[in-house]
Amino acid sequence: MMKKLATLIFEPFKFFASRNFAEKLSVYLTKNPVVVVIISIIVTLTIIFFTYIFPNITW
Amino acid sequence: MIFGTPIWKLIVDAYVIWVMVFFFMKFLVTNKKILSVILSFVFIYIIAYFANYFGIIVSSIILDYLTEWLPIALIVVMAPDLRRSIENIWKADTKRDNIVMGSEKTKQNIVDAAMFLSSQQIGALMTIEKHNTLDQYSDRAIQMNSIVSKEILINIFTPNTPLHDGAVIIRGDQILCAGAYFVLSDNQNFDKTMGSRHRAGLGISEVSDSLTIIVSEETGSVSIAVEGIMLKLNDRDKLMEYINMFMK
Repeated sequence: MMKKLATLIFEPFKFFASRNFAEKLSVYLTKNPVVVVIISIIVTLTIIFFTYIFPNITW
Repeated sequence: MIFGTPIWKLIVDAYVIWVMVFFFMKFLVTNKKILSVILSFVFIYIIAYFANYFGIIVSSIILDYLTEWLPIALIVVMAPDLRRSIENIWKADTKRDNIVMGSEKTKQNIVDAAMFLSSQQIGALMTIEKHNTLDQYSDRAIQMNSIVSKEILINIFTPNTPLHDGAVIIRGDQILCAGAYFVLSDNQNFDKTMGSRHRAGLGISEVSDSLTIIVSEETGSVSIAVEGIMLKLNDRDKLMEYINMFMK
């Protein structure tokens, strides 16, 4: 635990690189293509919300 | 009308945005290197945001400068990977849904051939296809479409014959082609003295879910490469065990 914390403080890039997030994420999204579609829909709805709906909301 | 915008306009806009986001996601997923760089960028952008938010002067100046130039740096540094990813987006899915793996006889023939070639110190490279199609490599090789047999495999790799250089691709019970050339692995973790045959075997295992059997010409040792990992197996039973696990 202390070693992990020390790595995070002194070598933050190494800390993230050694966890291989990109590899894990890529493998997961390749195996589950539906997740890509779902994330795309969420991002699209967020953009639509902030473009069309959010500016017109009166608080 | 939703907030003064016709519904059809909203739907069309949403659809176009969705298509672009979807393609961008696919673009990222197809290349681990780009995804890795993009994640680093996200990390730097988050730090830059907090540096600005808390008014850390020197850091925010440097980070602002970095965030401005990073996209250009990405294009310059990752140009070959970007090109490959863009090509892959438009390609049909290279996964085969209905795969047929080889029979027991095929497995026996492959192992027999590998052990014989090893005993004679004849170099060989045999790739067994799984879900990811290897058509892009077989198209440029010598088509065979013959039933797998020990004799044919030995004959293919016999030195000074036209087909001995390159890899054999096996699909199910068939030898799809011989003399196929793969992209060599640039993995720095492996011995620098590792030959091009081993690097080719490792290279194809990194980009597909295939299993490759490599017989060294110098030492006669038998190795397998799968999912970017290479294992030396000089034992017939161990080789059979791995092939059984892979081809089930």
